[in-house]
Amino acid sequence: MVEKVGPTPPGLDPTPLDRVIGPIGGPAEAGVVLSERRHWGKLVLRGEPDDKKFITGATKALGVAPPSKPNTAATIQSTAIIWTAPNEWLVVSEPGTEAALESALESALAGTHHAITNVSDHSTIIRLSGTAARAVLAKGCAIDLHPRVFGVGQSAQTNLAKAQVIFRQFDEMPSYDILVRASFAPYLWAWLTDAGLEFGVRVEG
Amino acid sequence: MSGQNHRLANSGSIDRSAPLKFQFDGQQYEGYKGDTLASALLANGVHLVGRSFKYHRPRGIMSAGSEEPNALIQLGDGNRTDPNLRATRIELRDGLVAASQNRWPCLKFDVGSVNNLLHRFFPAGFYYKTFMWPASWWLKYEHWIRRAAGLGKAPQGRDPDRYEKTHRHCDVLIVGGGPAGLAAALAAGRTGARVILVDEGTLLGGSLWSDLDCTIDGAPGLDWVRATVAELQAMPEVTLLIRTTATGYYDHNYLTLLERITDHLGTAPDHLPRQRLWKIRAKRVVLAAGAIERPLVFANNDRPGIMLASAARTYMNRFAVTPGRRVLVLTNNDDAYRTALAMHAQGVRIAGLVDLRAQPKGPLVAAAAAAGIAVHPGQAVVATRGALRVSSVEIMKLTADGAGVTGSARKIECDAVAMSGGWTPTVHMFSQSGGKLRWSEDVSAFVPDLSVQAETSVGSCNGAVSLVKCLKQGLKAGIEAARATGYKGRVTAAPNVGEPPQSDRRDLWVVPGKKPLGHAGKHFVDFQNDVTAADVHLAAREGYQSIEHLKRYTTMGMGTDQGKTSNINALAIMGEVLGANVPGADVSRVGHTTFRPPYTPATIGAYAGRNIGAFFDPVRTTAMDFWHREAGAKFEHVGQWMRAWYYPKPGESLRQAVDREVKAARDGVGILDATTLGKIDIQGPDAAEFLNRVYTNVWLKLAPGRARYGLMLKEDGMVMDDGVTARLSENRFHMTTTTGGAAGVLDWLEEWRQTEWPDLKVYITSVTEQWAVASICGPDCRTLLAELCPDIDLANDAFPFMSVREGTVAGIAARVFRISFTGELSFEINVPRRHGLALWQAMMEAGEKYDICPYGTEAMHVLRAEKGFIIVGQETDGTVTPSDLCMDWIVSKTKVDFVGKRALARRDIVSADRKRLVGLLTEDPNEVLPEGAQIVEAVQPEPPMAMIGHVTSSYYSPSCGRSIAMALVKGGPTRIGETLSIPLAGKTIRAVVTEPRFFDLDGERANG
Repeated sequence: MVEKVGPTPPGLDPTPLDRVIGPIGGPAEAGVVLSERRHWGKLVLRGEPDDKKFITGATKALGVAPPSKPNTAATIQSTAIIWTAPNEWLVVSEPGTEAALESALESALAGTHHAITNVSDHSTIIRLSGTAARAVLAKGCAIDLHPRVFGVGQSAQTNLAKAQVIFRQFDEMPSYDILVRASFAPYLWAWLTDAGLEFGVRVEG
Repeated sequence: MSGQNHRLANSGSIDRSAPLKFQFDGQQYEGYKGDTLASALLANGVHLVGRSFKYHRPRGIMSAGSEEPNALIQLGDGNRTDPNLRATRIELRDGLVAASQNRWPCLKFDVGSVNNLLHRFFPAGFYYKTFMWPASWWLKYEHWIRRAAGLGKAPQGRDPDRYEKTHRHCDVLIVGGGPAGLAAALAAGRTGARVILVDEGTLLGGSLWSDLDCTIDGAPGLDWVRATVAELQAMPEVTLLIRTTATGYYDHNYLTLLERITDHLGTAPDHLPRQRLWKIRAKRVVLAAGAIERPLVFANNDRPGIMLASAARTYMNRFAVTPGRRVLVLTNNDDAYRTALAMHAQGVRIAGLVDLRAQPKGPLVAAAAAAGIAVHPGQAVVATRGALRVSSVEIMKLTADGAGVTGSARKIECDAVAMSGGWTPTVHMFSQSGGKLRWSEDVSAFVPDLSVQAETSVGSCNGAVSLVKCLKQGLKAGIEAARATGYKGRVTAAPNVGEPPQSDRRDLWVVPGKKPLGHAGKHFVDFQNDVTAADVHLAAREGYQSIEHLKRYTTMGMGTDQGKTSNINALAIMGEVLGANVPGADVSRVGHTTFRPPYTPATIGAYAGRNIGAFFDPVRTTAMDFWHREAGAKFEHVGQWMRAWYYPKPGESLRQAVDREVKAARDGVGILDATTLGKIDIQGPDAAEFLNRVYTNVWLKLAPGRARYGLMLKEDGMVMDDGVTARLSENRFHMTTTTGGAAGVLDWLEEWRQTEWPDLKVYITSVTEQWAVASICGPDCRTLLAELCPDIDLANDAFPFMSVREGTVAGIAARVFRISFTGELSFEINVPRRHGLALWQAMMEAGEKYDICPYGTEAMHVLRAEKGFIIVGQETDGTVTPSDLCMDWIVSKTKVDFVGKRALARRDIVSADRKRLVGLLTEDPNEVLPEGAQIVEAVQPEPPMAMIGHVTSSYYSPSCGRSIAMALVKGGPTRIGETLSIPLAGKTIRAVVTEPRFFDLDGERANG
């Protein structure tokens, strides 16, 4: 892959995409809008859904109950709690909030069987938005994304092209936040840019 | 150039306001927008478009659709050239450059046509017979055959076009946009269901563009088509895909469609793919694929100008082109009368209408008589004339049984022949879906019988022969499919249809000639592969009676058309041959060959899509990758990871760079990017118990803050992975795995946890990419780390070997492991990935005064091999046990169980004869053995020799000042001191067996 060398913006910690994302900008009417959500907090929360103490504690710390419906996400303000397995959630929160959230969860869950793992750097988030966002995903993802089937609040763990991803839809545009492992992010970014070619791509900061 | 002298003055659906220029075999022609290459050539009076595969006989356009066997065209040039395209499916565009194939030096005079004169030497099965005798001639034959029997030419270079793929789900997928398919789409679409309708052509409406004698609700059929298409286009959940072929039908209603997006444009915009492969998951499928007319098998039925009667009607009615000025019609059914009447109505002279039926009757026959067309009932065409185009035919009276002809021949001048042998339902998709076919006497062909997937066949692919049946079946299947997927809607009433009624057909699978079969002209069955009725008889005589054998023996049904026009004729002839010998054997017992995807030839590029170049496989890089690049590192692929291999200084070879890096790591301080190792966070009160079960050694008593090396086995006792795991706290462990094994180990652990030990309270989470890891080693590394790490006591007592501490390194919160893969004093510093580059840069800066040296994976391999540390995947290959590695010390004798324990007691696992790990020292210390080389006890003059093992790792060791190697050898350590041989091409290397350890044998260096 040809790397476009663009340094990390001053004052920020590097992300896997700093040297991959080209110049910010693109046509206003682009069908595809891409951006990276830098360093959002990510915690893997494990616990048993039939353990009332766990659910109560998690709900208290998060402000919202971890969703019990597979492949959905609960949101509270800018935080999303994504169901990833019957006893596993991925909590995505504003950059820098993960440590406080981790301690809040630890104290609320004390005495229950649970695990919290900070994976904030394990993956990054590519935000894909625009009128053609669904068509772009369909080029590399076998899941049915038709609005009758997959809408706001739903999430998926699947392959997008040749990268494992977790994504959730968060508006009707549609817009998706795609979580991809850090080392696969350059590949996926390039793939998304390529898949968006026919619709026009705009990159936002 | 005579211009479009066969273009009719009016009619047709071409755009006469848009004339187009094109080139065929170097000559300029004109056509119109809406033409195909075939219709435009015919408009210019060009029938001769190709030479046949084997005999190089002149061939013309036979059909108007994808079944075309003859008119195969090479389109475009350079790397954009496409061979074997059907002229009947190429949309005409301005500037199109097309060429005929399989001829030299030119189409009208082809040297290869000598094959036609030598046909007695090329019987059916000729190709196979050349294998048999004389065997020594095969090499000569092959060269000649392959050169002689080519069709088009493949491009030489990289395909410059862009291809894409997409996934799509729908409630109802309808294959075929003819009357039945449109009716189904209408019925399903009106319920609001998600419908995709796919058609390979450019216009929806199918046969209604050709059969202008039909009315729907009192209006021309095309009015209904236009209204229906308009209604469908207005439905938001209906997708109409034209220029798109349903190529494959797989399990679970998964179908592939190939959409040709820019092929018809000439110059395509860069942002669009040339073609797109749609991968469709449909809840229900309606197959409305239509039917293909069969040629008649008569003597020399392959001259240019002889075409299917329905195709002739399509050229007349859709393209306003007449195939000839004096057209002879030959038929065994009523349908060809429609062609004759349509031509007659346009003023084309019908030279005669030869009907195989003795007493044809019905409204169409009456209409022909009323129009003054000369009908010859009970007659057959027994010969044709014309070198490059048919110029006359001879007809004779058929005997009552149709097996022969009587009386005298009569010659009829003509410049085209329209033939009709009945219709074959297009059951390809149905058969690919797994559905079972049955022989239908009604249509004398196979029709869908038992479905095995959620699918329905409608219209003429289901054996329907009338428009009204097609519409009714389509409407019914459409609403039923929509209802089956949960939609509600009313049944759409079938419209009133006006169409000519049709009566019986007389199947004469071989139309008799003047002499016995094979003696007066060729009765072609498969036009593309030059298979004749006589070939089918020959195959039967030689014992190739199974239809699959017939296909392979004669090549019948192979090639780019896969026998679309020929299969039924061939197997019906085989049925007749067998029926004469085997009582009860007929065509229904012969069966059919397998219908395989793709339905029509497809570009390989479409299947590759964008998975080419940089998208072929993701390249994974670490947080420090940028630094490695700036430092001029050479890289190697480790799985998908790109790892720094070595860092050459100007002029340095690999060996020189590695020697320097190894020396620095042993004598000063070296630094390695170890980020790619797999890392797994294991938490829970049963975490230690879990590790105790998945590793061979004991884990319960490991103290928090300490680490241990572990080997993981498969159930069969073979080593699958290894790594160091540290206990961070009572209930939390940090496991490391090999780089390549990371994903597999995580899956493995999850599988055991979920399926075998659900009672264990333990959670497993991959954190491989959470951490960037810089591993420093060498005598100075502690001093260096101390400068950057104020809050961890690095002394041996406070932070012993195989321990973990948390602290701050270069101002970054870090987990520091004191573990070693080099044998040196070593620390692995883990920081969150975002700080990886900063950590590395800080280490390099602070390390400058110690001459810190970055080392790559090659030096790492040498360092570990000097110490005799194994690499899973190098010393192991899935057949190696811990004992084979001489690592019995790591297998607990006291544990009740662990994964793989039971297998380790198997007789052949404990056999003394197994290959076990040893070291090898070559007699010449500068000789480095090739890895993978085979080891023998006794060298023979030539192979085979008894091989007793192989070299697993081999390097030049700068620390030992000589080469070292590790090997798996039968008997292993019992051979220490023996000298073994490694025979290579041109020389034999001798080496002494040693312990698999070469440096720092007492392990003192790890303490610094």
